[in-house]
Amino acid sequence: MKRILVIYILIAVVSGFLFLSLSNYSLGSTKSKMQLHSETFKVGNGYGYQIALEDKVLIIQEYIPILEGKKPFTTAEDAELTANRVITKLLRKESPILTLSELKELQIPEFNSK
Amino acid sequence: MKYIYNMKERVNHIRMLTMASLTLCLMASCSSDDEDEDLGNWIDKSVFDGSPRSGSAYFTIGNIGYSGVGYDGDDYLTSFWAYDMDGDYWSQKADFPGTARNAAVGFAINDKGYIGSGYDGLDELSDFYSYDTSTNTWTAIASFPSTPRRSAIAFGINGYGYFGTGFDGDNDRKDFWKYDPSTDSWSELVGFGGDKRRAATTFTIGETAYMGTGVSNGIYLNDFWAFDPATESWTQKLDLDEEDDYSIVRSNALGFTLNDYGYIATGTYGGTLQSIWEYDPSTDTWESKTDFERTSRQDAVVFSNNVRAFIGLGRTGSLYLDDLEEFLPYDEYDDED
Repeated sequence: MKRILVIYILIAVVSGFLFLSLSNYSLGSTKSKMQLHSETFKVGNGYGYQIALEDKVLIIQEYIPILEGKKPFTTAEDAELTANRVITKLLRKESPILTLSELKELQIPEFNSK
Repeated sequence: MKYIYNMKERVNHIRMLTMASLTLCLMASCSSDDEDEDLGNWIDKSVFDGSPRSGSAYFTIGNIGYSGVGYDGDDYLTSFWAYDMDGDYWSQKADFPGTARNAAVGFAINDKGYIGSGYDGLDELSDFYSYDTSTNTWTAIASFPSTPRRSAIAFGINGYGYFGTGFDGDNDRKDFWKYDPSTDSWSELVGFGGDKRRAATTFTIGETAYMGTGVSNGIYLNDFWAFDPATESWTQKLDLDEEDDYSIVRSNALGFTLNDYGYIATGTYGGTLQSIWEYDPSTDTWESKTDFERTSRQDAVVFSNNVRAFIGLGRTGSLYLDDLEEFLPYDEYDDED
């Protein structure tokens, strides 16, 4: 009787931890679905982006970061790629500051022609 | 709010599985797991506080605060940001063109911002650059002609920049210099009667610049000075420990101006500080304000245009950009906002 009880508790604990790790997993995925989103918009002949947490705009990028002057992204795709990289960084709790090598990696043409 | 919601959701999960397993001891282990999670967040913050990260340079032009360079614990940085006070959003601007550095000074003269001096991890620096907000471009200006240094102070007033004190790698400094943007040249000022120091603080009220605090050879300085740009002369004010209840003395603090009062905030005195002191120039007295409600740190940035002031401490909030706080000196403290 005692042994059965021990086994029962053991099974309960093991399944409990299993559920716990599952619920941890689902917590992770809801977090990545956190309402951090980007939108691209037209600036002159090019594109910029903005990043918002739900309704709160955090970043408005009318021009390509790092570059001198006021040059918008050539295509909406470039702007979107860059915005998504910033979101990835924010979700990892990293600084949203983009580096030269990151923009090269994203193959933003303004950084690869040089 | 989001995080709390998730936590609730998770607690529900846990309750359900606990009921299913009908084991009280599991409940106990669950709740201790929850505590671990909270503790983890807290540890994250304290690790960050303990890192030897030191300050970015910053200046404010109109309703936009600019902040750049700095050291993130791994790398010296060249990135440069702008914060729009009205829109409450950030934009990444053109990278600072000099070598990556920290402990640089930032100041504004009219509509241009300036960043220069500092430390690149090996050497103290003397190069300076101006930033044109209308074109988002940087231009190298005349390098500082005297000893390169870091942890100096600088302010722009009456169309000139003033730069002085700091640490040159061997010694703390007490010299002050003037930068004239119309001739792109530096000249030395005489007459500062205070001691050498590094990591001091400055703020400007109307036509007068104030400077004080800082540290030299482990001694925190308690003198406080007013600079009149019309006569380019310094006047000593009452010491920062004049009253028994003053605890203004510190280094690496923020100085800013709001509604014609001066403020010295955060910084370090043995340990990091959260306290904020308000200076009334008409009476030469100080008053303590509500402590900064975020985790204390010594390398914050402040954007202020005398109408509004925002203090940011870097990545201590749930999101990196989430933790800039507006300082409202006359509102009653409310920990709900």
